[in-house]
Amino acid sequence: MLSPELLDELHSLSRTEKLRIVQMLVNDLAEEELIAASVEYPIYTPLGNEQAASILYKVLQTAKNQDS
Amino acid sequence: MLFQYTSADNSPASLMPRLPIALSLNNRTTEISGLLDTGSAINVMPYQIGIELGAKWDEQTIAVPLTGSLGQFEARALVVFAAHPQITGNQPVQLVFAWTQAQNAPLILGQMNFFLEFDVCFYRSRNNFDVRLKRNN
Repeated sequence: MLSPELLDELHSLSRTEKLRIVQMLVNDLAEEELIAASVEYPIYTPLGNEQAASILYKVLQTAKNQDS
Repeated sequence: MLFQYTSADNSPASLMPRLPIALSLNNRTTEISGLLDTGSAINVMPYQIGIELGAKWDEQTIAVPLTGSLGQFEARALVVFAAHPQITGNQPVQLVFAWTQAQNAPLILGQMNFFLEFDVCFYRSRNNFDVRLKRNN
């Protein structure tokens, strides 16, 4: 959380120190983006797969007819 | 019957509705937690569960085309019986699955035909869900 005290301290830094802080934060953000981009999350949900549902429905009806 | 949402990594942010259920084929039974997935058009069974049930891949002749991450794997139709002592009593219910060759897929309980056989209410704000056998009108 950015406190007024922290902002005051940042403003009081020298030009060189401010550049170092900016560079450090840019590096942090780039690293986080890289980590987030490299993770893959599989989507297993067969959303909208009506063709598969239709096939399974017929298979189930056949199985029920054989059992009865 | 009420069930608690469960987390795969003990994080409250990853709570999901997983139903413990017994699947049977011929004389074999295996117990597994199935993910209740209302967005899934079908039930999906990972390869290893079918093997534990004694299913033979080559004997399942009906191919089921899948989408998403499962689209790269072949899947075949497989009918098994599902039971839970407090929900189905001694009357197991027939469920039809797309048995996928994917090893890491979860057991997905979807619209065809889990949600045709069971009535489910989700209470995510209370971290529980209610599953009952459908009423035959």
